[in-house]
Amino acid sequence: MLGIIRKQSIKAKLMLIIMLTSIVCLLLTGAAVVVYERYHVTRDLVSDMNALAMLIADRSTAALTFQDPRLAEENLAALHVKPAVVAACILNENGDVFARYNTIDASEFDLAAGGKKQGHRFIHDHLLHYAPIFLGGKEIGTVCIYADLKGFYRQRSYFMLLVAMVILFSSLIALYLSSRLQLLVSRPLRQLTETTQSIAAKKNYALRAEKSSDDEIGILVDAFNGMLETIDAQNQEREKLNAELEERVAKRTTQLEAANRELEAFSYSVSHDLRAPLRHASGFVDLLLKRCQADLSEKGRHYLDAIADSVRQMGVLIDDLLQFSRTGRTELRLRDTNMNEVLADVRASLRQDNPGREIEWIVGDMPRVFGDEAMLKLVWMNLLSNAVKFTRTRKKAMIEVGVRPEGGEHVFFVRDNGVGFDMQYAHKLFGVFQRLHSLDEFEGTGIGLANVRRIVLRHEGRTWAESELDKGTTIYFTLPIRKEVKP
Amino acid sequence: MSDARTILLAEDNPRDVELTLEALAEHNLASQVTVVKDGVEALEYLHCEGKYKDRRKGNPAVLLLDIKMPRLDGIEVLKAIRSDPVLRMLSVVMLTSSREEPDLKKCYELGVNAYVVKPVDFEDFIEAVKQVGVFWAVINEMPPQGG
Repeated sequence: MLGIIRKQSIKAKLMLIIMLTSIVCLLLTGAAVVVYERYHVTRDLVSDMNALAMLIADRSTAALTFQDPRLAEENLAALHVKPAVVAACILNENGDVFARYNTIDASEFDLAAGGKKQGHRFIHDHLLHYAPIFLGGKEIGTVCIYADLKGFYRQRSYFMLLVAMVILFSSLIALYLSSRLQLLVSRPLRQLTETTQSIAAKKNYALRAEKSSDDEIGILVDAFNGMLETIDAQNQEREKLNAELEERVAKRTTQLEAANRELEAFSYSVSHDLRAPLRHASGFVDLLLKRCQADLSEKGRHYLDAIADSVRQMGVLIDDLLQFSRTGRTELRLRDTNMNEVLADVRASLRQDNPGREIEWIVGDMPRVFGDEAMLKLVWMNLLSNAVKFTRTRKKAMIEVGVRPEGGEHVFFVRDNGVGFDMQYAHKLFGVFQRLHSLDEFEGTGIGLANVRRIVLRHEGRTWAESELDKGTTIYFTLPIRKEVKP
Repeated sequence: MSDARTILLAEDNPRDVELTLEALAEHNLASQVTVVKDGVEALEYLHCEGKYKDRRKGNPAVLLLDIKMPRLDGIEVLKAIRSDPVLRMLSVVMLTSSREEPDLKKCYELGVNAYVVKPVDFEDFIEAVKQVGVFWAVINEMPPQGG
């Protein structure tokens, strides 16, 4: 019941409350009136009958004294002025019928009049009333009146009907009044609700609720409008910020694109124009050594060798730099990549490049990752060729390649038992052209790990190294574990 | 094999020309080489125009084409050749300093016959030029000469 009421609108609830209250009040009032009427009217009826009976009794002392039933019957006949009295009789002191008045069948009356012969009692729709007849303080008989109450009850029904009609009419008036008056409360609430729904649907925070009263609802409307004001202001502020941000991003993008184009042009130019003079220097040194050998002293030849060596070195540096620039600029072609295959390819090519090296490989099972296969190949190539290079002085090289999952990442590592390095220089390890060994010991430009770091960073991973001089080095890199890759 | 097979070298840098000729000379191919200094001259030669209007008719066995040249660059020359009905079957070999990927892609899309990066090391350079020269000017059969 309460559940159903809870679902109703405020309007329905208000009307329900008013109607319920009115109807309960009306019914209670009606009930009070009816109870009062029943009590008093019944008492009046009884006292009427009593008066009538007393009157007859008073008049009938002579008839009884002189044993004159005719006189008694005359007296009784006066009862015809009261049509409700349908029968009456006078009993002598022995209780026998002395005189009668009948408008109905006498036997019905006799049946009703049986029993105790005093006071009054209601029998069916009738009232039976007894009144004693006294003479000189001595009871000489009894008057009995039998009244039909049908008329009386009919009147009472009319009265009840009237009361019911009044209740009904009042209820209707209450219904009409409540349906008008509830608007005072429900209309502002409905307006507020409609405004709220409209704002929620259209997301238009410029709308305002209309204030139509100064009560609690009015306060609510004011507070609501105040909140809208705040939201609207915040939205405008945010839109302004967004627009500014977008503009800034667009500007930055243009700048970046320009910078990228310049970088591209620069690297293109390096690639073409910087190599040509090197090639020429190398070519002419070579020709000098070949064609003009007779004119050269031992020292002269040594100088030319040095020049040739430097030129070659510079060529390698340029190539490495270009490669490094490319690993930063080339668009990543990310796809599901099988690291086992990549690793196998790299190892095969390393085996070819390092014949005769005795290396014990421990290679773990690799996962599938989401990455650029060519770039990842470059990572492994750099790491594994470093491991091979820096274990060259070992009689038996040991290189372990493995992976473990850790905090949403694959942590890959390459561990060797090579010459290692001093950890105090670890921060330099992944820098461009940073070397931790002299060229006499180990060749290389120092670009490899810089490439590794750049590629791994572009794959949203990290790189770091652990090493101990003369014990070996472990290089780590991570790649995020992506959900789109099938395990 | 015909002695008359010529090699057209389009190269703006005189040092590169000298070194390339030195390399070809080591294989006795230098005498067959004609050198043009840029793309415009290369096309004039091929079309027998300008200062080449009196040259003997016929396409060279191969065009060794540098990419970075003044006026018309190598890629533009290649494009012009491939869209010319008389020249389109000419063997063209890019001979260039770098292997920048956009260049490689463009050249192969335009139908280049080969793309050779000049090695910095002279020994390697000689070897590369020799192989290119011998293959295209000696071993390879030229396309039938039209018109």
